[in-house]
Amino acid sequence: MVNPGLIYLLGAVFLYFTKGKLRQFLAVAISVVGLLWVYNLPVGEGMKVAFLDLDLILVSVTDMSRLTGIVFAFFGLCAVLYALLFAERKFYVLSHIYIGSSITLVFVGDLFSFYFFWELMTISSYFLIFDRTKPITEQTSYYYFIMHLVGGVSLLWGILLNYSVTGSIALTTIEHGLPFFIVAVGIKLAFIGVHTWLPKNYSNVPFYTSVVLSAFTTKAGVYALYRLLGAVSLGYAGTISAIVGVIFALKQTEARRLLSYHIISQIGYMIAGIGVGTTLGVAGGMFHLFNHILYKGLLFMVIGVVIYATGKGDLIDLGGLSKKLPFTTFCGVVASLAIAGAPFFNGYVSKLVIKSGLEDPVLQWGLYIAGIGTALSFMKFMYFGFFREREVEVERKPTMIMKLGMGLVAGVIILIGLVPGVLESIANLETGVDYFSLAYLWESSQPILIAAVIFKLAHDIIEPHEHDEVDRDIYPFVGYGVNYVGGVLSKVQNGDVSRYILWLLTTLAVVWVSFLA
Amino acid sequence: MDTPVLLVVLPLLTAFSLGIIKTFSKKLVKAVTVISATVHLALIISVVREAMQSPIVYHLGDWDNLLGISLVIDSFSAMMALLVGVLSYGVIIYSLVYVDFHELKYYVLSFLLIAGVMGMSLTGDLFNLYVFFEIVSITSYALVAIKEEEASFEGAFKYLVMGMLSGTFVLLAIILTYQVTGALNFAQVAANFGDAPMLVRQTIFVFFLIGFGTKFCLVPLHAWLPDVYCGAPASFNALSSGIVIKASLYAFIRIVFLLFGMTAGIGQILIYWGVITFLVAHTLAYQQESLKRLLGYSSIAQIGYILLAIGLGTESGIIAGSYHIFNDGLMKATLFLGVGIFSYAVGASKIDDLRGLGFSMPKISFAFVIATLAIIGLPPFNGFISKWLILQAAWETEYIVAAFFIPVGSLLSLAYYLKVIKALYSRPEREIEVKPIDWKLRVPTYVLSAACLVMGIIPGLSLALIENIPKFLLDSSNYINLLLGR
Repeated sequence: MVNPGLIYLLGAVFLYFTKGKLRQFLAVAISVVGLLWVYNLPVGEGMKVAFLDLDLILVSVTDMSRLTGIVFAFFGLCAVLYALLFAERKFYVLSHIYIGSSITLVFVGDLFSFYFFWELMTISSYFLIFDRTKPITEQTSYYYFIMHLVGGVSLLWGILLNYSVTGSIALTTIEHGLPFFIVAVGIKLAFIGVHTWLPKNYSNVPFYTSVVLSAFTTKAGVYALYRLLGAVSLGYAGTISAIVGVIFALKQTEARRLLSYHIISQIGYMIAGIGVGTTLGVAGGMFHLFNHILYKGLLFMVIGVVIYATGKGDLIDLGGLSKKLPFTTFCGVVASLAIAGAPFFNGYVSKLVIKSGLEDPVLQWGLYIAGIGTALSFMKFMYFGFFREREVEVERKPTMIMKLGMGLVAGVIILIGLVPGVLESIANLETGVDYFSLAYLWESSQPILIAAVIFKLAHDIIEPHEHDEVDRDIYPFVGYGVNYVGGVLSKVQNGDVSRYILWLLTTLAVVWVSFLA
Repeated sequence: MDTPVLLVVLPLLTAFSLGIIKTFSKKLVKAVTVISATVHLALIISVVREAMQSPIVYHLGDWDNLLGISLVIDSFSAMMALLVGVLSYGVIIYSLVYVDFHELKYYVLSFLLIAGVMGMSLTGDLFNLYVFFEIVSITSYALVAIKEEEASFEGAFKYLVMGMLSGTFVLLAIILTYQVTGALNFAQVAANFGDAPMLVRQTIFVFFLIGFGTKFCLVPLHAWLPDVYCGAPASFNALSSGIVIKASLYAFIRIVFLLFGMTAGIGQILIYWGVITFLVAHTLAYQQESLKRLLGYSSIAQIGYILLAIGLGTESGIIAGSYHIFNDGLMKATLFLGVGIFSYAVGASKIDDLRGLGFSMPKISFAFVIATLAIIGLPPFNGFISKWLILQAAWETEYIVAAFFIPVGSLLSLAYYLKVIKALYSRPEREIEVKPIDWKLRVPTYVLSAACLVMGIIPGLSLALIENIPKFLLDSSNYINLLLGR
C-alpha cells in the first residue's frame, strides 16, 4: 500500500518541468488517479519505514480518514479543473504539493510524519498565498506563516512531550501535553481568537487560489482534532466559535471575507460535534467536514467567477448577476442552501447528525442561533450579489471547464442531500438517523424562515454599506516586543572594538570568578 | 599509505607552488587550483571511507608516537574532514568566477586556510593545534581584507584585534597545560591532566573557553563577526561560517572531552550559554538590513544550538550536535554562495536589493530558499532533522527549559528569514538587469542546496558517518589508546 498523497507530491515535480497542454493534462490526470486511488484504498496499515530511531507508518487507513481523503481528493480535482486555464506554473506545482501533503497527512499513522506533512502544508500554502501581483499578500502571508509556525512549534512540543512519556509516536488520542496540541490544532482550524490569519489571507489571494485554500488547511485541523483531541470536551468552545464567527461574518461586505468568517463558524459546528465525543456527534462532525469542503469550496468558486467576470468582489458593488451568470447563480443558490442547512442539501444531513449527537440543550440552542445567522448571511450574499436590481458590467463569461468544476461539486452536494446513504456508505457507518422525518425537516427549516423574516424586516441594516474596519488583532504587539528588544541589543553592539574587548575581558573575569568560587 | 598526511600537505604545497607557477604561466594557476582541489577531495573521500571502517592514526616520518607529529582520524575528525573537503571544493570552483581581485593571493591564502582547518581537525597534539589555529586565523584576516574596501579593512582590523586576544588565551591555556602535564600530545596530556591542581585545571578550562569561544562566537564574544562578514568576499564567508568557525568549535569540543570530560558543571554552562547565544543572535539578526550581517548572526545562533547539544554530554546529544555541525556547514555555505551570486549579478547587499530577484533568477533563488527553510528547521530539510535530534536529546536529559527554547529559536529565525524570502518574491520597483551567471557559480550552490534536501529525506547517509563519534568523545580512553597505538 502506498500513501496516495505521494502521487501528488511526485506529480508536482513533473508539473514543474512541463508546460502548456501537457501540464494541464498531467495535472488533471494526477488528480483523477489520486481520487481513484484514495477511493479504492483498503482499510488497514502498511508501508512502515524506519527513520532515525522511529518507526514511521506511512499508510494507516481508517474509515474516517478515507472519508476525509476522498473529499480532499475530489475537491482537489474540482479545484484543479476550475483553475486549469489561467493558473501559472507556480500554482500547479504548489497546489499539488499542498493537496498532496494534506492527503498524505490524512493517511499517515504516526505523529512524526503527521508533523512533517503538517509543516509541508504550511510551507506550500505560504508560497501559494504569497503572490507578487497582490502586494498586500507580502504582509498577510508573512503573518500566516508565523502564526502557523507557532502552531507547528507547539505541535512539535506536544509530540515530544507525549513521546517522552508514552514512548510511542503512534497517532492516537493524546493523553500528555494536551495544551500544546490544543494550541496547534486551534491555530490550524482557525478557532475564534486565533483565527486572525484566515480572513486576511483568503480574501486577498487570486480567486482560484482561495478556492484551493478554503478546502484544506482548516480541515486538516479538524481532522487533527478528531484524531488527537478525542479526550477533550470542546462542545461549548465549538458553539462559541460557531456563533462568534457568524456575528463577524454578518458585518462583512467583502464577499470572500464573509465566506472566510463562515469557515470559522462552520468549523465551530464540527468542533461542537467532535468535541462532545458521542458517536453521532463525531460522525456528524466528520460528515460536516466532508460537506463543508464541498459547499464552501463551491461558494468560493462562485465568488471567483464573479471576480473573474466583473473584477469586483465586494457586495456593495455587486448585484443583478443572476441574469448574466445563470449557471453561477444556480451553483450559488445550491451552495447557500447547503450551508444554511436547508433540507435536501448536504449541509442539512450533517447538521442533523451533529444535532442528534448533542444532548445538552445549550449546545443545541447555540447551533440553532448560529443557523439563523448563517441563513441570514447567505440571503444577504445571494440577494445583494445576484438578485437585486442593478446593472453590473460583465466583462467575460466563465469558461466551460470552470463550469465543469463547479457542476461536479454542485452535483455531489445535491446527491448527498437527496441520498444521505452515500455518505454513510463511504464512512462505513450506520447513523440510524431518519433524515427525512417531518419533525426534522420542520425543525431545520425554522432558522431559515426566521432568517427570512429578519431579512425582510431589517433590510436596510443588512444592506451592505461602507463601515470602518476595527482592527482588534493583538498579535502584532508580540512582534513589536521582539523588535524592540532587538533594537536595544543592536544599539549596544555599536561596532566599537574597545567595547568588544571590554566584553571579552568582562566575560573572562565573570566566568573565571564563578568557577573559582 | 601516506594519504592521511596528504590531506594537510597537499593544500599547503599547492599554496606555495602557485606563486612559482605564476611566474611561468598565468593561465596555469587556475588549472592547478582545480586539479589540486579535485585530488584533495578524492583523497579526503578515500581517507574518510577508510576511517569509517576503523580509525586511522598516522605518525609523521615514523617518529615515536610521543615525540613526533601525529594525525588522528576518528569519526569526528573524519566528519570534519569530509565537511572541509566538500565545502572547500565547492568554494574553490565558485571562486574561479567570483574572485576577480588579487586572484593569486586569494588562492594562496585559501589553500593555506584549507590546510590549516584540515590540520586543526586531524592533529593529535596541542602544539600543532595551535600552529594550525594561527595559520587559519592569519589567512582569515588577510582574506577578509582582500577586497581592499573600507568595510573590509575595518572588518579585518576588528578580526585581527579580537583574534589576537583569543589566540593569546588559547596559547596561555596550552602553556599552562604543558607546564602541569609536561606533554603536548593529546594522549599524554589527557593521561597526566588528572594530577593537576583543581585551580589550574579550572583556569585552563576558562582560557580555552574564552579563547576558542571568541573564535566560534559565543555571545557576547561574538561582536566581531557581523562586521567582519560585511566586508569579506562571499566565498570566504561560506568557508568561514561553514568550516573555520566549526574548526575552533571542534578543537574546543575535542579538548573539553579529552581533558575535562563533560561533567555536569561544564555541561550546564555550555547548555545555557548556548541557549543565550542563539536567542540573542536570532533577535539581533531580526534587526539587520544587510544580508551578510543577517547570515552572520544566524551562524552565531547555530553555534548556540550545537553547543547546547554537545553540552548535554550524552550519546544522542553528541550525535545531534555533530550532525548539526555538518548540516549547518551545508546550509550556510549555500546561503553565502547564494548571496555572493546575488551581489555578483545585480550588486545586491541589502535585503531590499533582493526585491524581484526570485523571478529574474528563479533557480538560484529556489536553491537559496531551500537553504533558508532548512536553516529555520522546517521539514523536509536537513536542519529539521538535526534540530529534532537536538530537541529530543535535550528532552531526554531533562533540560526542559533549554529544549523549550529550541523551537522558539526556530520561530525567531523564521521571522527574519521570511523577510528575505518575501523580498525575493515581491515585485521589483524597477527593471532588474541581471548579469549572466556562469555555471561555476551555479553548480556548487545547486549541489549544496540539493544536499540540504537529500540529507533531510535520507538522514541515514550522514548519520552512518557520525554514529561512532560518541565512542571516542565520551570515553576518552578510546581516543588515548588509539593515539598511543595500544
